[in-house]
Amino acid sequence: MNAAKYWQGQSVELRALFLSAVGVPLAAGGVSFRVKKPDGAVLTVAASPDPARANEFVGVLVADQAGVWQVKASCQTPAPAVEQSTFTVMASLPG
Amino acid sequence: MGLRAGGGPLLLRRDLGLPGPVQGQQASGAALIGARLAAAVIGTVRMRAGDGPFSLRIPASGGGVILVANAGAFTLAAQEAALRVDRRVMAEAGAFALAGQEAALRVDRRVVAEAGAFTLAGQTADFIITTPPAGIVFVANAGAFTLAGQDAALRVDRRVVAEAGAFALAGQDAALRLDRRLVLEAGAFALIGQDAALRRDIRQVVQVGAFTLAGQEALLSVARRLVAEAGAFALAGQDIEFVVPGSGGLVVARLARRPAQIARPWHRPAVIGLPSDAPRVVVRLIIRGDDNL
Repeated sequence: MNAAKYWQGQSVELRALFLSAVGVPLAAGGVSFRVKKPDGAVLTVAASPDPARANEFVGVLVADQAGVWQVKASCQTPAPAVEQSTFTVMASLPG
Repeated sequence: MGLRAGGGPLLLRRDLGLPGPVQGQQASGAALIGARLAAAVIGTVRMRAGDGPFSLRIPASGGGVILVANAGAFTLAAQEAALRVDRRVMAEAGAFALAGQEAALRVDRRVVAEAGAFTLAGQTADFIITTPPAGIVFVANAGAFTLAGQDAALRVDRRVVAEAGAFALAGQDAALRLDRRLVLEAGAFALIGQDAALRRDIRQVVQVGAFTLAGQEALLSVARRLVAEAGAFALAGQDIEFVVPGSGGLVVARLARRPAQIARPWHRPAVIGLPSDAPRVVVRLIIRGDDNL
């Protein structure tokens, strides 16, 4: 579980790296980010290859709701794989 | 007829016709060369005129006398004719001054004004639309208009000089009352068209039919994506007490019930049943923020 916390309205970067069983980066295909917002709405964030880092995909979303967000990164090739994590968005600045 | 030539200055008559008959005695000798007198011939007498005065008398009753005048020398002394100078006046060049009053030209008919350029600039009137109960009324606000123009270049050679003038155009805002000036007469319109050829085949009602979908079953690879969420397991049972016989019920050992709980992180997908030839892909998900708390 990801313990990251952000303020509402911040931009959150999603980054996915696909590795082999022995930890070697793989050229994955069909990469996507699926995000579930605190209110239950599910959206897809475009995953673009990072030109600066090989075999890494990046996507950006705006945390416009307070609560716990769920993120799922997946690929289709060379083999289907998925990874999930969460982060928390705070409604406002404290006190 | 008598002819007498006397001395002294001779008077030359302009009306004396020569040759021809002499008329009267005043026509004395000068310049009578070869003259022939148309008198009655009374005889033949030759005369020679000498110096000095002479006289010739022919009797009126004599006849057949022929007078032949030889060539002689004559001296003509005469007085300059008194010409009538008043009929031959030669006018020399003179100076004339013509003074008069300038003609009162009718400028309004002779002035030719060339084309000028005029510009009328104004402010667009704002029409305010109000909707009283009686209907829509257009009210025009006050507008400002300015007329600026170029003085007409009048043709000076026609003697009219026009100075520059200033023109002011003042007007009153028009109170437009569109509701009274717009009169719409009744009009007649004829709409002629061609009947549309409707495609009846498009409007056919499709009745209930039977459809058969044949295909190959999709080979879903759900088995490779099984994700086991966290689960709770409870072990129910009764504690076991081991009692040594003859010891008065002393419990030697007790096997207490401890509920077993198996938890698997929900975000850790369990890969179940991967074929041996399929590569295993590990996804590393990183979440970052621009201002992480």
